Amino acid sequence: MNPHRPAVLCAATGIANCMDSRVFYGQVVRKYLQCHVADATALEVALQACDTERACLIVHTLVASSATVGALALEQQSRVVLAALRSAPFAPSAAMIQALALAHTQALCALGDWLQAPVQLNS
Amino acid sequence: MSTAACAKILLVDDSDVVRTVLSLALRQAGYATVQAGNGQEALTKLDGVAAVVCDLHMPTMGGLEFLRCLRQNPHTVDLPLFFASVETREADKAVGRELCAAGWLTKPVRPPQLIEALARVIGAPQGLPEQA
Repeated sequence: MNPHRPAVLCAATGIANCMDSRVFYGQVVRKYLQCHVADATALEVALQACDTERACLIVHTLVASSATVGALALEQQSRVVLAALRSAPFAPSAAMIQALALAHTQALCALGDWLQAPVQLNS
Repeated sequence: MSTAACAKILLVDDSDVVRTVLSLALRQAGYATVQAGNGQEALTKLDGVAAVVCDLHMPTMGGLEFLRCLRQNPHTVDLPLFFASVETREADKAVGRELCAAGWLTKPVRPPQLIEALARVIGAPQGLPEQA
């Protein structure tokens, strides 16, 4: 997990230039945590039900969102699982899913910790 | 091409996070924005839209199906649409070309790249210089 603002957010806040970048990133991270906290469980349920389409949508959205907030390990692991899901008849292995779930948990913890960290203006 | 002051951009993506970031960047660049979480919802928000930025894979209605609907409607047959996706499969691109997609952006989308792409098609937003 990269706790720093990724380039995409730097660019967005650079253009915005009207809101403190840390405040903006905090808003995005909160939204991320609200939207994606249950993704690992939802993915497991979809895979158990052999609902590949639903699983692909969950992982696809996870790739884009984690890349946007800079959760790079989760982005990378999500891309691996997405590739496995897309290359039917091959399915993601149990090890792949475990690695993704771990990366997901680590990203949530790191982002949650980041939100609790002392505010440093214009970091 | 005239300056597209406050031209309205429709952002279609099932990721709230992606929509939030792109919307802020576009609004600060001088565009107005409207958002939808999938293609079906986007079909109800086309009024006054100058261009669309659309995810490929979404629940209910994906990007390619949404673009097909646009091209079948005489009011939106020429509406510029950019795809933004984490995947760039050649088969999807071929369908997109057939349906005259304006371009493809790879996620995570850098706001300056998106603004540049939009400016090429609908003109520079308020406050930015015109493209030559």
